Amino acid sequence: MAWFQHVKLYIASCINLFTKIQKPYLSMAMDSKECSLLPFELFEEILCRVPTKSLLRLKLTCKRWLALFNDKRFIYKHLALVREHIIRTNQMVKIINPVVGACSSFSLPNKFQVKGEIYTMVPCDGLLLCIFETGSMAVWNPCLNQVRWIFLLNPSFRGCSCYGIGYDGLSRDSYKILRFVNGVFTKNEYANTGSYKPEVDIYELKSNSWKTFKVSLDWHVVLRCKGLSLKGNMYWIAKWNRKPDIFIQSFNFSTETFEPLCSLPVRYDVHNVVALSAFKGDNLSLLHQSKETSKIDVWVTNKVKNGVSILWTKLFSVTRPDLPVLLAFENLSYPVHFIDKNNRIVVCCEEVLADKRNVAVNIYVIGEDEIKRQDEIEQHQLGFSWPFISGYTYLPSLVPVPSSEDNTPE
Amino acid sequence: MSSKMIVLMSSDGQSFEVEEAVAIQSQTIAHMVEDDCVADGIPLANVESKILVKVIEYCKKYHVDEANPISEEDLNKWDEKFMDLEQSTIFELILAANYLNIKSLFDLTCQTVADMIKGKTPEEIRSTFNIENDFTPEEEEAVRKENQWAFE
Repeated sequence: MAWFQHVKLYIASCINLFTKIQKPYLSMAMDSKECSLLPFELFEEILCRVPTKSLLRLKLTCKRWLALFNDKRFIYKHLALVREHIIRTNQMVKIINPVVGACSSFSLPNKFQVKGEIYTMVPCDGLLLCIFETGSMAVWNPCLNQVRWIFLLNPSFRGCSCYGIGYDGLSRDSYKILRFVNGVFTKNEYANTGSYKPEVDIYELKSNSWKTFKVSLDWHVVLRCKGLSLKGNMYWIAKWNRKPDIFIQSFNFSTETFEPLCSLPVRYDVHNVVALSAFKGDNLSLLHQSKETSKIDVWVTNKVKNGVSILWTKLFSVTRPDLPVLLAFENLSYPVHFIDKNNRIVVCCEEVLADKRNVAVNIYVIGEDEIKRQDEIEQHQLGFSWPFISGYTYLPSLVPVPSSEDNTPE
Repeated sequence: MSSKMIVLMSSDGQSFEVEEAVAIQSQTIAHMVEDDCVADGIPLANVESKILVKVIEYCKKYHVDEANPISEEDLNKWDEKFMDLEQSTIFELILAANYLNIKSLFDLTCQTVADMIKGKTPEEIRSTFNIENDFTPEEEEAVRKENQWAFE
């Protein structure tokens, strides 16, 4: 029984030790104003649950708080708790918190106007990889108003290229950018070779350097799929060139290789809406709406991890007369969605108004038994929806845009 | 069915008899129960009776009874009422939830304070938490400029 008594004594001494640590704080409570009695580590726990916009304002509280909000460990702790928002960059930056219905707008960074319209963006950890009409590339954190321009290796045919952003390893101190030419635009799908060898470019932000290699790709990313960055890797809906099968393709930024992941849980039809997003931070989700029936299905995977098989399960299906048609016409913007903490989908889409001349950008929150439409985000004329995507999911974060080790100026 | 009871002793000497199943929502207590050192009661030297009462109230509510499940909406409403407390009490609850290692209570209390902090200005925060402003006007202006989005 001797070991048992040792354990009892050990626990008792731990409690005593804790009391000794706690006492100074508890006595402080008696003297000073009510609330100085928390050790700073517990204050951190509170602050990492405060929305980003408020934290930015509170940088001015005192230098210790400013230092905390610039501390990498705190930044990622906070990032893990940030709720998804939607960002649009049509002339102004609009950051929308769909669940609460709040929207803040402010102007785009100065240089952005010079570079033209943003053609596509890939979000990762609150950083946005922006590709401009002109082919220019930048990494941007709108919350911190930080922009880093990426020098280009060679002129890019941005219309045919796919882009990605992710990181190497778990410590997240090596963010990388991927670019490759998407086969479907350069090779006739029915041509006999079925594969091509485009250049695949990888840029490392830390070392401010590109490297290029040629890989044989016998697949291409399907039209309208912009790619998803999740846990440091990229994911797309892709199709084999020589067979009709559709699958999820991934790019691993650690091994710098493409790795087919799994097949889709639905039969792919180019007329239906099929969109990839994240789920609970570690998993994939698929939104599917049939053009014929308007039925919406939401599928999710298990945790995406090396060596683990991916299994899809249906989160829910919904059919009701007031469901929005997420993509009524091909020339409207493709919808964007995420799944909120109550397992409802939040989707941003364009809908043609009754006058058949104007288009409204709307956000819906759709659950198994409920549907709610938020206030209209904006309206514009039908005819040309640029840049063909309703918006991007976005995590307002404190993650700084990585600077290069050689401190090359922009 | 008789449920096993254990005794929790607050720092100010009060004793509370609680069902073991309810109490082990605290990981700290759960470990002690596992190590079988609860025979004489568990002294909680840093939890005052006033706070321990609230902790026990919370644990009782969250002790899931399969026969009477509570809807999430009702639980959320109960949480709101439960957290209608003075700031200093909430802070002491955070400390207690941390020490007793009750994750859901810790999350709830921290989130409550985070929600309080959310809408406040730096001046209000400083006054609430007795923090000194150690920025010079120039330093303050530099931070403000850098974070335009937050100040609109």
